[in-house]
Amino acid sequence: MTPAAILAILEGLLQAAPTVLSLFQKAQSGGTVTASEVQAAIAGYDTARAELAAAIAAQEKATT
Amino acid sequence: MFSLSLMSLFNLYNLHRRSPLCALRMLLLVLLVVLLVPLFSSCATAPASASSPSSALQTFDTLYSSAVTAETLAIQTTTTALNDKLISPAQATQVLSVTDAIKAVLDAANAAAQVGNSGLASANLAQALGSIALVSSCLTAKPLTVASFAACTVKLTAPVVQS
Repeated sequence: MTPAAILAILEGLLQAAPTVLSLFQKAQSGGTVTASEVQAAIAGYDTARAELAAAIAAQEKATT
Repeated sequence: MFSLSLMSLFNLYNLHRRSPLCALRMLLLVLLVVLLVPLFSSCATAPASASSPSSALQTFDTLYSSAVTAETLAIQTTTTALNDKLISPAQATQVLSVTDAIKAVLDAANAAAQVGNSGLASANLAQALGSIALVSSCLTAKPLTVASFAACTVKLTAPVVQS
């Protein structure tokens, strides 16, 4: 794995980590999330899934 | 424990200079551990939560959001690995298929929670988390290559919704 790839992954994780840790903190303290926070999590998943699907299509196209 | 998790996170910047993959593993481990503890705590207190279903449901919403976000991180890592050609398009497609199944299990857990079936909700949530942990561990294998990822994902199967 190249240093650039490792840094790209780490940067992505570190940018998202505060959001994830905030949710975990709420879960541990018995706190709750709002409906909009739940929808934001689902929207983030949908976006990430679409980006992965697009990346797969691009890579497959490049190799054919 | 959460303060310990925060301390670990604060050390990531120093760690990733020396060993980026160790820092990545540690972050994923911290995220999974702090998610699993409240999950199993809520299982143990299920009878008590029956007296306050609204509170139990709100706690589940938090766990569900956390799990969806953790899965999102795994998908984003897969995209990065694919773009850097560390894994093949076929392997990324396999991850996409498994994560779709994980999302279906998470949604089944959410549906069970909405109707007050905390046992089924916890069972499906735990199964989804196990699969997220496995995908994450394969993505943080060192070195991450097409071959190492293939060897790791031999044991990777799509979770099945429990009903």
